[in-house]
Amino acid sequence: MTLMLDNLIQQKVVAGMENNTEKNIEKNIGKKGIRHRKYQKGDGRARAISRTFLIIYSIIVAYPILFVVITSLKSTKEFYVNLWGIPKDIAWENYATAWKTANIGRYMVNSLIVVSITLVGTLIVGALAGYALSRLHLKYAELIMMAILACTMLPSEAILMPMYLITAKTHMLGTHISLIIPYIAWGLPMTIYIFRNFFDTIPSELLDAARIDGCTEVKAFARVAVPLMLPAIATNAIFIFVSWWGELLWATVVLSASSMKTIPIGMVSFSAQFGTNWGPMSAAICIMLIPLIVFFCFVQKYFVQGLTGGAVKG
Amino acid sequence: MSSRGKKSRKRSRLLGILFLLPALAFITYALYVPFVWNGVLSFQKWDGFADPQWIGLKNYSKALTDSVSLLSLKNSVLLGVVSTLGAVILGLSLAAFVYKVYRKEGALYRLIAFMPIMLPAAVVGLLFTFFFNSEMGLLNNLLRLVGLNDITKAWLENRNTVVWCIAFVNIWKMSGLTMMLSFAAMQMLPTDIFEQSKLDGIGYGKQFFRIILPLIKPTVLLSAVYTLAVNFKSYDIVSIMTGGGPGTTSYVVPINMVKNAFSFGDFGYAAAQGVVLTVIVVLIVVIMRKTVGSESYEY
Repeated sequence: MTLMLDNLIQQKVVAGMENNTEKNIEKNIGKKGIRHRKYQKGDGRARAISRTFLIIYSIIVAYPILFVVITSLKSTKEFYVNLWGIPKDIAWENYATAWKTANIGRYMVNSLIVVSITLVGTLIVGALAGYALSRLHLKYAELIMMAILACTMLPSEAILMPMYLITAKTHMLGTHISLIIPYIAWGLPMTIYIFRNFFDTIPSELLDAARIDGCTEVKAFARVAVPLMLPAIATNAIFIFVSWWGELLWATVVLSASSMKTIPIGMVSFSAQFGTNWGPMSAAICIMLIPLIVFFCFVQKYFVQGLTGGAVKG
Repeated sequence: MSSRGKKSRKRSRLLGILFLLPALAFITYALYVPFVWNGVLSFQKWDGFADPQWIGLKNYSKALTDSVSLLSLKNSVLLGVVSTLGAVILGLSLAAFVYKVYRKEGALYRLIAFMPIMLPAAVVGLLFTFFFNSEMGLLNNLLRLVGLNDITKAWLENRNTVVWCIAFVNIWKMSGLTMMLSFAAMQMLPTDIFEQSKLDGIGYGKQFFRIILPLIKPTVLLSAVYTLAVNFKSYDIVSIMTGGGPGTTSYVVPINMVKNAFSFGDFGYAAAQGVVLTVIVVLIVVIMRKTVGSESYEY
């Protein structure tokens, strides 16, 4: 009986607390947003200059990429005659050539498997460690963080050869695991650092309240901290996906003779064959970029949402 | 009550260790152990098959006197410093500009400016091989289009331009990172802090340098350190764009290392070069922290 009552009270308190914080956060963000807009309004000249610069820069960045997309749709003959214009006959066969000759479908599946497992693994392990370092009263937390962060300074080449020897000795050469474990490890320092910094920004009263109300530590982490962390998760996910989708050096070393090859290796050997044949080459580049673009569009939503407060409001 | 608090604190500490363990296991396995092993290797002569021999500091004296090794060190440092400086300054100005425009269009500019980071280094390398190509390349064709035939050249085959071209590519690729992180930090700033300065009639430029920049300094430093680390690791871009050429002009340390280890079978020498590079990177980061200062302001 008392237990039930306890539970009931607890639930109410927890619910009340959640409501409260949500309201507070909403209020703060609302306030900030309004002021932000107000502040921006009365400053036309600075905005015009900013806009001009941004548009020019956007062209500089986007043009080479756009050029590759256009080139991928031109036949080789047309490319040499009509370098700048848009293609007159769309040459889809470039994509067929790239897909068949470079065996891109196979590489794509390999890359997707490796990168998605790496992504989930890094996020979970990194979020746990970041939370521990920020919130769980660990002794020497700052020192541990420094020791972990120092790893990002190591040039990957300084660990390449011993890592190769370890992988060879454990008979993992040529498997997906031989990529996944090091990828997770190498991505962790930055992920942990970003997560720790974001956890530091959560008001500790919020978590204390959850704890006092009887949330276990795990529950406090999952129910209170994680939802607030969506922007951090998005940021990390972008970093992780991007670094490993195109990783070349380690993949080349470990997968040299294997059917498990990932897409960057496929690209490089393809470019060795088709180096000056820019049509199929550009098509291959475009195919490689599609998953990245899809992923970024998906995450960017959360990224922006997180920045403008939508993710917090849920 | 206090004993209960103590107990729960102890329990959360225990849980903290539990939460931390998987991460430490991964990092130890794939970072600490190989790194220490690499250090050991740098004092040995080893071809990968026979028993390794201890040869003291010979690898280091070779790494610090050999002309190719010194050239690759110089290139790595030059590329790292120039690219990082360029990327951070450009990224900061982009963030400052994006902060001024409306939210919706700002999101579009951010997306575009962030795109190059999304591109795998291998793709960026291929893209810019194309860009700098002497006959079909975009750059030379553009220059011819506007009548600047005189300065068209074989950019990547020219000893005077090749390193700067690579630096340009690094800046192009990395500036979006500083932009994104700085912009996120600027969003976190309470806007009240601008009000006083606005009343005083201070322009946006001054506001940015006097108020915003000091407040987001920790974020800028973080992105600078990260950019530096990435630029020092740039094996992919250089190896695809030039392969270290022409000759050895654009050799960077990673290329020299891989060549020494996997082509010439001198693992110890390559390991020593890795250690030297690491020391230099750490030194630069320390100098950066000292000059920029890592104090942060409460707001």
